[in-house]
Amino acid sequence: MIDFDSEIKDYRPSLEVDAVEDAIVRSDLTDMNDLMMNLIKEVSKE
Amino acid sequence: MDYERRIRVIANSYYNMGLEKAKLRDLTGSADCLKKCLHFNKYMTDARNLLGLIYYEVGEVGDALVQWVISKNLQSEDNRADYYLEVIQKKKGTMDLERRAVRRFNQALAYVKSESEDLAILQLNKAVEDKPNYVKAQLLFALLYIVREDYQKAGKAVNKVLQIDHTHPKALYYKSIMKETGTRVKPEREPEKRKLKNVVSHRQMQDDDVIIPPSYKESTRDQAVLNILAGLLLGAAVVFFMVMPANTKSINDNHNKEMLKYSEQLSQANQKADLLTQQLNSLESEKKTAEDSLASLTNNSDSVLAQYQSVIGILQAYKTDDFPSAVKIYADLNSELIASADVQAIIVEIKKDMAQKGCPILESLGDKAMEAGDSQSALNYYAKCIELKPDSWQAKFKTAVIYKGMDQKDQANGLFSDIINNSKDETLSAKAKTERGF
Repeated sequence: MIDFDSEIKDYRPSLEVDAVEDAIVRSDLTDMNDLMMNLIKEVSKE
Repeated sequence: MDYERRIRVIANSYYNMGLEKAKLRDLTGSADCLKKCLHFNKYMTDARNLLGLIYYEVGEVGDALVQWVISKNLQSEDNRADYYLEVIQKKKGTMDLERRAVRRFNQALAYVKSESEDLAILQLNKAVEDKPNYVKAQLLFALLYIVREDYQKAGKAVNKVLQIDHTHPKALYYKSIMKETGTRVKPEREPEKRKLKNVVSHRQMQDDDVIIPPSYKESTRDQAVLNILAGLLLGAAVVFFMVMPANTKSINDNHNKEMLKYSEQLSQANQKADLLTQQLNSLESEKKTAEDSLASLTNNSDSVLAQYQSVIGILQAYKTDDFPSAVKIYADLNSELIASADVQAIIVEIKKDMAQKGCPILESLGDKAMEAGDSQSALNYYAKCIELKPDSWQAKFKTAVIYKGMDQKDQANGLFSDIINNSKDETLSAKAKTERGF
């Protein structure tokens, strides 16, 4: 049988349309390429 | 192979997997692959646009917009996101509908967390009516009905989710739970098919079917008219016997309340009027007292003002050397009413002068008054003379004679005795004795 309380914890509120702008600003767009570039920069500094 | 190329290859692989899964309507799996693809290469515009499309398909418009707007920023030219954004924004009312549905789902989730499941179901009902592809809303809806053991409704919601996302893990989980309970959830039929099936008489009963009893007969037209008339009569009777008395009572109550209010106001007004009448009486009394006081100061011959006028008259007479007039005025002067110390000092001086020279004139004035038959004025002149000069025996004798004539024997005898005992004028004493009756 379903454990309602633990099940309901999985549900998250949907992103409101009015909050899209904030969500875009807060988005982390770092990808693997950026990470590699940073690593290379750090290694070359050393 | 350099790392950039390797990264590109991995990202492409994930994108291809995501695309394949999306084509098979494994939207959850596809979204996972696409997110991984974008972790490797954020410039994979197709992957980002497809992720937005998947979000839009499962009802998450906010997340879809985020992906498409980012995509547009990263690649402003020749981008399919343009088309998606344009379609959403162009269609009138679409954004409002999406916005409302999302709000309803969030509200429902809040209701569930505050243990108000009934309200949550109401909100979710509206949300899935507006947007049947809203997966999260359908799943929450299903969960609430599973908890209530209403597996038919839960099953419908789960099936709807599985139609959108064939391998949605939560929907599959709910389905398996319902299977454990022995519930067979039928997939939703197409509307046309359902219509066709309803035509067949031998079928399984649905929740919303109405059972018509065999005794039921269609009414004829006359019966219908009679029924309407009976209904109207019944309605009129209800109005007359139930509604009207209640209305009348309500009107009476209101009327009584108003009457009570007015009588309270009237009582207050009467109290105020009584108070004002009392104040008026008091003020009238004060006015009368003030008027009397003013009259005593001004109008009467005995008034204070008249005494001052007398003093002025005396002084005027002195100025013109008319001493008899001064004496005459002095006879009527009541110096006790004069409060001014300065004027009193003048009066003292006048009195000294009058004591020396005034008595003969006063006696003469008294005599003239007696001759004129004005005994009261004569008494006044003689008394003034006696006041100035207590040993004015002639004046005392004449006064006693007047009193005797007025039948005031006690006062007359007192004066006669005084003359007999104290006067050195023997002739006058003899006269007094005779008058006294010795």
